[in-house]
Amino acid sequence: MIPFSYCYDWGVLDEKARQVAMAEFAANGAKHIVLTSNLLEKISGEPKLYLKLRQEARNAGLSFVDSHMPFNFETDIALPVEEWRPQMLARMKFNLELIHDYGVDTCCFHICSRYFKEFPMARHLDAARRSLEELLPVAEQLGVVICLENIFQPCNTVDDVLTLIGEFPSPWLGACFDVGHAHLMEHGMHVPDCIVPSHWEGVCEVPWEHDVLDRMLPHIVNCHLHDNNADLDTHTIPGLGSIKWPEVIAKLRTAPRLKNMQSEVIPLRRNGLPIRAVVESFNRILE
Amino acid sequence: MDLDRLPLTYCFEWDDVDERSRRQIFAEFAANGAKHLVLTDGLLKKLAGEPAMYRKLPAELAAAGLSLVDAHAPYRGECDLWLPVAEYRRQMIARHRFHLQLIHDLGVKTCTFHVGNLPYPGYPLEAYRDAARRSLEALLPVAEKLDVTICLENLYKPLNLPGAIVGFIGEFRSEHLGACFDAGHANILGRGGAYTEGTAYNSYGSMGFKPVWDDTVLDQLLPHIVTCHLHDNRILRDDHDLPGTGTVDWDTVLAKLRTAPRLRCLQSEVKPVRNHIPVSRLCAAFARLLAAPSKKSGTLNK
Repeated sequence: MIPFSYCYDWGVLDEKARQVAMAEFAANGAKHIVLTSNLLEKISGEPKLYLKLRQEARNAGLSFVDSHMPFNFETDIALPVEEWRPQMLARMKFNLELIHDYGVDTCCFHICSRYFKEFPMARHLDAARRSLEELLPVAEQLGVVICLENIFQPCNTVDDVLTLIGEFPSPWLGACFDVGHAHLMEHGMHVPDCIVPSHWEGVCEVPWEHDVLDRMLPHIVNCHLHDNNADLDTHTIPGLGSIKWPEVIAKLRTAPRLKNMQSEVIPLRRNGLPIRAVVESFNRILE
Repeated sequence: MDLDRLPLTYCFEWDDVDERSRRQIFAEFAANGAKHLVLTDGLLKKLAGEPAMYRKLPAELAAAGLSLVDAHAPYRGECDLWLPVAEYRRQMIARHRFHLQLIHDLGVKTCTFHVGNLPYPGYPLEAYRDAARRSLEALLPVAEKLDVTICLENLYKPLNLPGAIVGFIGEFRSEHLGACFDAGHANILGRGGAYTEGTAYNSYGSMGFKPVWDDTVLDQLLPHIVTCHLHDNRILRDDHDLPGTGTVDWDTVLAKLRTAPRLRCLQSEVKPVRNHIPVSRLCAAFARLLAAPSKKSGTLNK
């Protein structure tokens, strides 16, 4: 059975609130939580958390499945600013070590969260290539699969993800299928005020996509499940948006490399969605 | 050597300081004549945990007209070089490699490390020593590549004593490994024998040892000292107070430091927040301390 893991916006919680949220997940039947980018940043900045966090999860009866590498500006594999790259690589190697120590064997990476308009796209993708050359041996040594995520921003298209995976044929490199992002790129062109075009301004026309799940299917190792209405990246509960969930889940069940599934609903971003509502919504679509 | 030709850098407890207050305190240091601040373990932890700080911090410092000189690696528990628990060691090494990269990127050339702080019950002293040795084996090549000198600091626990530090330095014989002389810790180790309580007793006791008092710390470390932590105390506790408020013999300390062949910078490791010391008073105290000997004599040690 494929483990199902829950993301949460841990970054805004203090220690007590974190323990309460973990207990809440467990009380509602969750078994696993995601080692999120927020948690990895916290462990990086607070060495004591390295042992404490694992103990907190154990106390709640939870374990960590799947992870998300910190992202943005200083932490993108496509970072084209040469002088910042050594810290980015050292940061990611350290995070891969933490991920391994937490018993997690998959980690989602954004290729490019911050596109530098002063550099051409090819320069970003070349930087991503060089990062993977350096990070893949570390991931292999630690037994962690690097999963490249499809996003609706430059350098994160399905083409970009599949190109990089094709260039590095390795069991330690795969895809993270983000259903919400796929929905935006497949249907956003028909939706007024869709957020996608704003991310491509000054770069090129939006390369709207189709059949994202079908194209990524052979390479999908983990997935981010959340809903939206193809306008904003709301990360809300399945059923509150316009994604056709039975179709998505049926296809995902046939993904040959799939190791885990993740709720990437972000409860606090949506005015405090109850954990119970999140867990129940996934129980429904996975039935 | 004229000590006032070496950069003087100030430590501060940044851990609980928010961005606005940090900028204010930077400006305060600059307004009081400071030129350099320490890349403290608190700042390094912030840089590690908040990636955006990597660009923000240099901009904040430049705006205040300050630069970073000297660093202090995070320490205790999961960061100890002597960490003997095999399964935790890889994260410790990877963490320090990452810190060394940050230190290099911020233009800092020296970094103080504690050999170890926390005891791990059940491990003999040799296990700690072997673990510390393996940590240095893993980190020194990184430090050499990044041109950062690792400076081992004297504390009061075994393996942080001057003999052990000189031993490690002798084993590795690298220009990127040296000593950080801590004047306050040396004062405690040199004069603590007159008491039967206090920081050193507790520190030793936690590892099942009795203190080994030693008033030759500075003499033993002198040839290897690359950085130094200057602060004062009254022996029983590690106060990190202003020079002149405790029992450190500053005339002797400074006279000897002038002859340290590898010394590259001086650090105020006074803890202003802990001791309620305004930045203006802190900077004035160090200006007095480092003034010409003729002006200084008799003003600090009474």
